[in-house]
Amino acid sequence: MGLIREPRDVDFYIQSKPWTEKELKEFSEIIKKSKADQLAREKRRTKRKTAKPVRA
Amino acid sequence: MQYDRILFKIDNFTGKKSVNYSVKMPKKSYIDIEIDKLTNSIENIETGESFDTAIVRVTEFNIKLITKADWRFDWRKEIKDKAREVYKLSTVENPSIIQGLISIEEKSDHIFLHLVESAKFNKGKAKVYAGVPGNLIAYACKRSFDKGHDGFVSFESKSALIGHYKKTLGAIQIDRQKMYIDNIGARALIFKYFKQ
Repeated sequence: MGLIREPRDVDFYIQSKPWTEKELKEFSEIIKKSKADQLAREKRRTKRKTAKPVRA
Repeated sequence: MQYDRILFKIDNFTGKKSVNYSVKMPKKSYIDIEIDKLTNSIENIETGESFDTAIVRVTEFNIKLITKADWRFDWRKEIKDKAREVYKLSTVENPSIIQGLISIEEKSDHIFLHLVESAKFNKGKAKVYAGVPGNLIAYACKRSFDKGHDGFVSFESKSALIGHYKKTLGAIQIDRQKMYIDNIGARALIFKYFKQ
């Protein structure tokens, strides 16, 4: 457990302009790619864990 | 206070139990108040003492909690916008004092952050508590998981804060101002704040 401390002389705030349909669509593509990459990483990790040790 | 009904909700992501009180209101209307508790999530800068916090939705029923003069952004307008959800963060000990506010909107595959603001006394060099915005953004990530969006959250940042958001929130920059938090970043934030 911990917390995220913002620097004392910096104030975090967010004020987003609404995104257009095109911008949202582009972001959806980023999400899809990110999920696919993560899945591939997890598959590689599982494969490495379950692989039988090679005996010489 | 007498509650009309009390519901317990188990969070899918953290397995945490939250209480959902239905409070009987005048004129036979009801309001559901869902309280999400976070652990040691804000810290008094002077003393270093940390406090448990609670996040509660602000609706037109409790809109009077927000005094226009105390905030930079127009939160009443946010609350009245049906597509958006506004949440307040306060300490468990002092639920009437709002430490910060967040306005979010569910999109088809993620949560969009419209506004995040700390209370007046949590701004500037003399700020009382640290950790308020991080806390609220972690909550937005949790909402993203709750809604089945795998933690994905998007927002726009002022140029000067982009580096800070990358470093502290694990946010990823898309272009000049657009940023997002992915599944890995969201998990890290949630594990930092929410009781397991």
